[in-house]
Amino acid sequence: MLALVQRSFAFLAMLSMVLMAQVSHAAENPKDFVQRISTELTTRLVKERAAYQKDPQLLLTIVQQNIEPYVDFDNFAKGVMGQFYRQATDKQRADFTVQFKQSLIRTYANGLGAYENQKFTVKPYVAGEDPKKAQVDMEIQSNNGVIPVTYQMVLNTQGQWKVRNLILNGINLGLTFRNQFASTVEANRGNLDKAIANFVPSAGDVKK
Amino acid sequence: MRTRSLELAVGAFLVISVAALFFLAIKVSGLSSELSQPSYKVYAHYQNIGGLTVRSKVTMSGVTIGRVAAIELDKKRLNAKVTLEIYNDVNEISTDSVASILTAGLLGEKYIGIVPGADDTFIKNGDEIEQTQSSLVLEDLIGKFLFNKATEDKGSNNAATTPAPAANSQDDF
Repeated sequence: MLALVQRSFAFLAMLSMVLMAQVSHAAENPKDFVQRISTELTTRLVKERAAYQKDPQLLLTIVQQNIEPYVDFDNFAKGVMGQFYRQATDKQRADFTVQFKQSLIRTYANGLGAYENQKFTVKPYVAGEDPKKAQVDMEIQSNNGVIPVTYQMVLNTQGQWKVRNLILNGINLGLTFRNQFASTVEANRGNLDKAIANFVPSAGDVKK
Repeated sequence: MRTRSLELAVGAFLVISVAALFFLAIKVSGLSSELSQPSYKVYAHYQNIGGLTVRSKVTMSGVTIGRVAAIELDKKRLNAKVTLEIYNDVNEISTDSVASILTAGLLGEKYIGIVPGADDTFIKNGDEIEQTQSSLVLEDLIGKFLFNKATEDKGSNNAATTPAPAANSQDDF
């Protein structure tokens, strides 16, 4: 009788440990996440530098492969559309997301083309009040001094962090793009389709 | 000739002119129009508030929709916590709106501009505006500009240019 109780207790203990291990695997520490994706990208950039300097298309592919799984483009694009999101049809929203993703990858690749293995440090993570939202600061050592970068991330339903916004050098990129899109719509006299086709997001600042 | 009535008239005139000046002062400062507007409180955190002060205006698309009620240091997060009072009739500000600190004119006073977002939920009394844009410090911008000028002359490539936070308008011709 005692042996049965002991056995079942041991089984339950093992089961709960396995379950807890699953749960703790679900959400990576935001600092580790940022460290990992940045290291992956920079390692690849350094390794294939000769190759992509000959073939710029390769750089675009590298950037895309290292950005796409980690950035929540749908919601980033939704934020950039801002007040026009509600007026837009589903097709316009989808079109915009695709266009925006391509322009962003292109802009990012342009900036990274000048990457010369600058060091970056991810600052220690300070948790906020909402466990599903995280803000991680990073510093990039460049020739002009230190460039502060802040990643704003949201935990998705699969327990993975997705980047929602970037604050580069104190400039909130989501807001900058939102203002640019709003003035593009104004310049196109409220025609959303034209605005979506003509919209060119410009960060004005190049991230090394 | 100093008669009683003359002195009374002069006194009355003086009182009226002082009252008129007082009335003018109240009108110009806009104190009376705000005191009467019922409003709700919303919070925002900033890394740097620049020269923002209490009673700075809160605008959307340039139209005043409220005032800054309080500014204090958030000791836990070590950034600035600003309390905004927004008029009750402006109650459809989406939760993903951005509250950024802007400058009136080139070197003028600071104020908060709210850019609406896409969410279907709206902020209510006591909520926090999560997305913010801190004030751009003039010295930082000048410093970056000078750095870039110096390194440009040395022939360094793709130096980080001064960020252009203002919107670019696109012509479609």
